[in-house]
Amino acid sequence: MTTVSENVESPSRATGSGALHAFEHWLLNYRRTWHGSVFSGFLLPLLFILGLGMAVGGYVNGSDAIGGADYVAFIAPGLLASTAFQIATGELTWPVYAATRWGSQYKAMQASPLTNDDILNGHLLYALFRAAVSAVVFFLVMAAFGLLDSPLAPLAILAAMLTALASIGAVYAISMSVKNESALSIVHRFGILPLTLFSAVFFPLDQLPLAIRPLAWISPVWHGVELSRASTLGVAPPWPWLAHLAVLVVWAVGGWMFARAALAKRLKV
Amino acid sequence: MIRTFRAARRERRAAPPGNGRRIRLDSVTPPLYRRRVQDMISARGLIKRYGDHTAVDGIDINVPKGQAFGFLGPNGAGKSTTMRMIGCVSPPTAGELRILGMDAATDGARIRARLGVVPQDDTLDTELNLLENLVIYARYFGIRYKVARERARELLDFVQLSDRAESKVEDLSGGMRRRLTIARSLINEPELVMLDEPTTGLDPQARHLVWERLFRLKQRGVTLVLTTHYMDEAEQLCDRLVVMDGGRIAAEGTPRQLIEAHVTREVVELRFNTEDHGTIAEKLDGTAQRVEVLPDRVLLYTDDGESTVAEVHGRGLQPASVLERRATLEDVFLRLTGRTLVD
Ligand SMILES: Nc1ncnc2c1ncn2[C@@H]1O[C@H](COP(=O)(O)OP(=O)(O)OP(=O)(O)O)[C@@H](O)[C@H]1O
Ligand SMILES: [Mg+2]
Repeated sequence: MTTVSENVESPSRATGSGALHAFEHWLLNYRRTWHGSVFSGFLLPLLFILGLGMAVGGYVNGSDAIGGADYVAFIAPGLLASTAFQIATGELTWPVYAATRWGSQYKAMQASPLTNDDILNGHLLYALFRAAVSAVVFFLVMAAFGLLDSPLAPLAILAAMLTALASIGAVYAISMSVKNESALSIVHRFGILPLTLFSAVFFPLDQLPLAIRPLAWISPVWHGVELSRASTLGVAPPWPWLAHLAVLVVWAVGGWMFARAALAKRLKV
Repeated sequence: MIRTFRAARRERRAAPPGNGRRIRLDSVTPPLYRRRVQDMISARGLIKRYGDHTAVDGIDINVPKGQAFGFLGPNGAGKSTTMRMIGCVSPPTAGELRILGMDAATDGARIRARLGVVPQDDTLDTELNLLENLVIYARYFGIRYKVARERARELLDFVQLSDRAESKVEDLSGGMRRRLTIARSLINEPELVMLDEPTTGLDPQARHLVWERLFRLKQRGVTLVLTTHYMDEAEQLCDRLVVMDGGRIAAEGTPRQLIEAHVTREVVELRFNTEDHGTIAEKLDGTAQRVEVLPDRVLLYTDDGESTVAEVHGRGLQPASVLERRATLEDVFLRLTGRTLVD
């Protein structure tokens, strides 16, 4: 019974690998469905670019409002960031709710050496992983359509990941705290969807009435979208890029702290 | 099999535990130091409150290495709550709790790394198959994939589920899930295994299989802590027991000690067809040291069953059935936790 240490990769407490072990759990579930998700990862941008970009583009291409850019090239980086946002947060609504209410994945982890932080970070890491897969696929589709106008374009993937990172903590905290599952539909309908619609993905922010714009200013999605667009179009973002970055970092850190508190409250026995 | 357990227990009692070296070490070790090192679990004044409800109300426990220690008690006694505190999942509200020589309050993760846990409700991932359940759980402990897969195969064998290795847990029967949970608790080769009602829901054959497996673990020096509602299980497996009631420890000892201390040697069970048990109690008063009225029968605690039966008949009572037997742990349990006593 003293063989434990020999077969253990690393004392996970010391190296912080606990979160990776929790991440592996979600990855194992993903193994069964990954084909589908990569396929839809290609299909989604394709549909957007062909349908929305080409069709709507016929009306608005070269318009002053979008700085004379091609409409497809204008919306594609925005969609890249907002899709990463949607995939990451979607992975943290029902699955997070289910993991503590219906399933017992968290309970099993709790009995192991994993700490609450490991459990949290492992799940967040998985959401980021899903976002990364979608961002890379989306980026490749953009490249195939010749929508990358700047050598800095790959930074758009980073911008998309920052968008995801900035939103996951808050969404996790909400899913962990809501009283019943219908609240999650509300999160989707009145949180995730409007954030996508009013974050300058499909039209520039100055098309919105001034009264609504501050909502975008505090939305992590808008900042991510603008950074992504600046990268692929090779233009300056509306705010100094450090300011955009700062908002995203505040969301990421604040969200994580809320998530941590919500998890601790839920797992308390 | 029952005889095997009993025989082995007798042997263990006759000979001091451990091998020769351990015994010599013990004899030169000061008692206080030994208590510290050897106790796998040591709790002092352990309390758990949920709001203003006190689930565990100041209990003291010592479990030395290699012992099989049991918790008995009615529903809601606080057994699972205690198990969760020892499993370092639920922090005690007050009291001192040391496990494997470490402080439960500060070393939770390190303690859990060396524990095996079978919770009262299975926490398997129903979407995954049996093998995956074991392997991924091993990963939580940082066990390498290769080793994890080997151990998973061995453990499935150990609980006789090898032929279902690739089935989804969803498709398993309740008893099979229980066995898988037990297998999973052993994936990190724990020194201390906590089993909360390990055999609830198992058919008699599976239960005997689990008993036999647990017994083998014990022989390897693994410390077992279990809760159970089956008195035969407690009697078979446990070296020492506590009876919990209302969050407190009502009694403690070996199964035999508990029987000797809390009930008489023999019990006469009477069943009546017609009369109300309440009025029967009065008529039986004095026939035995203690009369206990249960909804379906009356228990007479006595050191001499035969003369008690004679006395019952002598008073003109006509029970539908009369059973004379030796006292068991079940009687101890009823005595300590039952609420229908007529002393
Ligand atoms: N998470 C919780 N929140 C509030 N009360 C709880 C919680 N867990 C247990 N309790 C209460 O603590 C008391 C002891 O419960 P516990 O589960 O420890 O009993 P038990 O001895 O394991 O019972 P059983 O034999 O039914 O499993 C009960 O009154 C129960 O309602
Ligand atoms: Mg219980």
